[in-house]
Amino acid sequence: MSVIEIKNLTKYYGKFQALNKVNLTVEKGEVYGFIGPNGAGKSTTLRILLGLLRKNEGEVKLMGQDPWHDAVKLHKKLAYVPGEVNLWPNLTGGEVIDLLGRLRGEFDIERREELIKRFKLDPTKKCGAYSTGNKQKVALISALVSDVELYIFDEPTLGLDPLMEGVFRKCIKELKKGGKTVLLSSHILAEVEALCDRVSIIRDGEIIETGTFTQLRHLTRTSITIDSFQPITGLENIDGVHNLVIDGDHAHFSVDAEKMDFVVKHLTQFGIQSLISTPPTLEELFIRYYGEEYSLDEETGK
Amino acid sequence: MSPNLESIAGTWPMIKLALHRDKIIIPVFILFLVLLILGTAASIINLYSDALVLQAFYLQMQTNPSITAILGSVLDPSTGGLTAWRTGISGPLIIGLISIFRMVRHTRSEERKGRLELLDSTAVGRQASLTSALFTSFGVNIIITLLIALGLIVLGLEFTSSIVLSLGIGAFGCLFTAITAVTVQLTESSSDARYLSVGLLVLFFVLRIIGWDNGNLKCLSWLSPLGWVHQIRAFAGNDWWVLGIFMIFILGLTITAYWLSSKRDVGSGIINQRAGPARASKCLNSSLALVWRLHRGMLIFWVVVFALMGMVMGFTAQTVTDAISANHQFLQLISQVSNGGPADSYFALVLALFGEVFAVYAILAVSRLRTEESKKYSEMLLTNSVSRSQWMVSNLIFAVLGSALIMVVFALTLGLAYGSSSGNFSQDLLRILASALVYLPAVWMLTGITVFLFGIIPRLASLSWVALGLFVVIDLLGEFFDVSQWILNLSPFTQVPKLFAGDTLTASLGWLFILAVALIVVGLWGFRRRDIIG
Ligand SMILES: Nc1ncnc2c1ncn2[C@@H]1O[C@H](COP(=O)(O)OP(=O)(O)OP(=O)(O)O)[C@@H](O)[C@H]1O
Ligand SMILES: [Mg+2]
Repeated sequence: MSVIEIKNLTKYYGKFQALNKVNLTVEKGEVYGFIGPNGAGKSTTLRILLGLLRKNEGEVKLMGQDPWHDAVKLHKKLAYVPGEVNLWPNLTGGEVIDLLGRLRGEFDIERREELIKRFKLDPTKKCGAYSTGNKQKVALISALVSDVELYIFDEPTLGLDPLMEGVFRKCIKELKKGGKTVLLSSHILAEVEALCDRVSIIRDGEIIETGTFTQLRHLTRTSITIDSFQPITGLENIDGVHNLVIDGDHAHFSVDAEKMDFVVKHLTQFGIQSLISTPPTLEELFIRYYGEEYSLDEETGK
Repeated sequence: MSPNLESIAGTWPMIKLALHRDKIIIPVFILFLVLLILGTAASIINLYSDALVLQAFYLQMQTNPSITAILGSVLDPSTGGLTAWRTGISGPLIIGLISIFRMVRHTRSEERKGRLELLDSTAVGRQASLTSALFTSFGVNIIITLLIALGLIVLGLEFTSSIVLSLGIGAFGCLFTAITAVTVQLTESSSDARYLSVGLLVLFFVLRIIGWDNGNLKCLSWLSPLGWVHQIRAFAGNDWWVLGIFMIFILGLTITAYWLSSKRDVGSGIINQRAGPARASKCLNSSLALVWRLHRGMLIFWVVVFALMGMVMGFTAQTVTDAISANHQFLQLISQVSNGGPADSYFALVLALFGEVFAVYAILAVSRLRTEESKKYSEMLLTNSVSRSQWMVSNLIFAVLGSALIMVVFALTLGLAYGSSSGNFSQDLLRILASALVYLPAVWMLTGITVFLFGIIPRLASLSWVALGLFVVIDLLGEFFDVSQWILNLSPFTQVPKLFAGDTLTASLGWLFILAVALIVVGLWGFRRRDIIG
């Protein structure tokens, strides 16, 4: 039985369609990445999974149960960290961790202390006085402190500094070792790449790609930098070679996965001095899928 | 220490931001207050255009100590004088509350959200938020003053006195703007600042009642700005110089606020919030326990304030009845309208006034639900093992039982204080308690309305305040106009039998209770079916 099973999920906010026939399956023990640009529908999907929102159409099963009707039963078996963490300003971080942990059932005090130490959190501060990153830490610790089957994180490292991001990644890897299931949404690609076994890419409410990284890479271009003994010619006429920059015996370009073999054979005739091939990053994957629009948006900071 | 130019850089964009965020609430506040005061004036002019009727009403009010104790004495037997008297307490109280809430919202609440931190680090000077909050709040007060003055003059009241009356109300608003400018510097959390300012307002009200005009502690009312509003003597000689006292305090407090603000760090208060416990106490393990933790401050505040109020009102009751008993003419008059003793008319009035005040608590306590939802605190519970109904009910318990507790405490201290001076404990206490408790269904109606809105149309949950405002206006109108019964019946407070005025228990009280319960049930049902929205 899959831990999460979403079939043809559709959600409307009034007339606006936020999700269109979303399919998503997460197996037990998997760390699953859910990526997409702002407003793609990541949070909406997660909030339906948690029974905070009602679905309009489709089927959603969480550990075999319905997240809307069996919400409380299911919530004891999972821990969730929302995208934008807001906590009661008059409670201290330590109190929030205890409260949320106790509500979910028993938790290990030693693990609590260990997590607080690892995340370098001062648990005696009032939540109203925490910075964004520290509030995020409180929510993360309250989730990680519970020993549950499923962990759901909505953009978990938003606001964390690189050091703490590292701590978080370590925690996720430990969860994976312990056989836990993790679903995390993000638009920080490096994070998803480092942590996840499989990913789904969502855009404008539709899943446009699902698979392991190796599978997804097949769909993308590898970038190649080469120094040769003789000037390189003929590359510009090969289909599947893009963004070519040639400077005599030095060239830089990217190549479609299926043309790789052909291109490398072509290159050998010029005598290879050095060749660097970089597998595509998720960044490039994104740009490929979201096209011009995405890279433009990135530049203007929209 | 006045702000230098650099420290107030960026004030203008902040003012624009503040005005934009409040573009609905400011006109609503202004309209509500201005209409309330002009409505009162209009109805008085309408009702007492006949000089003889006016004179009779004046004598009746002037000789009724239960009224002069709470509302002050009428200083001049004219329509203007009556207007000044009738608005002399409610006007300042409302404008004071408006000023407090706006100031806190635009200084500390912002800071808590970290928005200020962001702004301060760029081109915004450190005094900009205080300056813009003061500027807009003074501005709102000035507009209210102008509108009231203009309205009164248009209604045909005397020119200079109309200006003096409105200046008194405006000055009170400015004073509380300045007071709150100081309290927000002192405390670290916005709710503490609010408590401090509202607490002062309550204190001033209490001082004013203890120092009521016919009592022997008259001088105490000079300690209260509410007394100053009275001493301006609008329509009764216009003592302009009293406005000078306001000016001195407003100026002094504003300067103090700037000085304190320049001394503290952004986000902290002068009285620093201590660090809290690293572990939660054993009891903090359920939704109900959390609500108690979050709510207890407000509940204790209300209980203490109204225990004090009850005591003050109870002790005043004795002197009031003494005064009534000494006035044979009046004694005869009230024996015709109510079959009780002289104290009864006083208690009837007090309970009618306070019933609506307790409704404020009944709304406040459940509007937490919407606040917690929109601030996303609730999400942390609802994605945990707390069910939607459980979360709602744990908040409801406080609204329902809390308002009952406040009501009982108020009635008890009122009765005990009165009994201790009249010597007739048991009987008076029970009667006061019973006459107070019958207000509970009306108070719970407002809880019901709020819960209903929250469950069905959450984005409009604050409409319950509009409902309460409407009920207050209906009750006020009923006092002066011959309003048709069906309009009066719209207000749940009309349905409450005034036991002290000789009413008996009726079925409508039962219906009120059933309706309140029904609204709550529908609200619970609606919330279980809808999306959680920010
Ligand atoms: N309560 C709401 N009412 C109306 N529209 C909404 C509401 N919540 C979200 N939306 C819209 O639904 C779409 C999906 O939003 P969602 O929050 O799921 O995106 P997201 O992928 O989580 O984005 P981000 O990366 O910015 O968090 C967006 O276009 C958003 O504007
Ligand atoms: Mg999101």
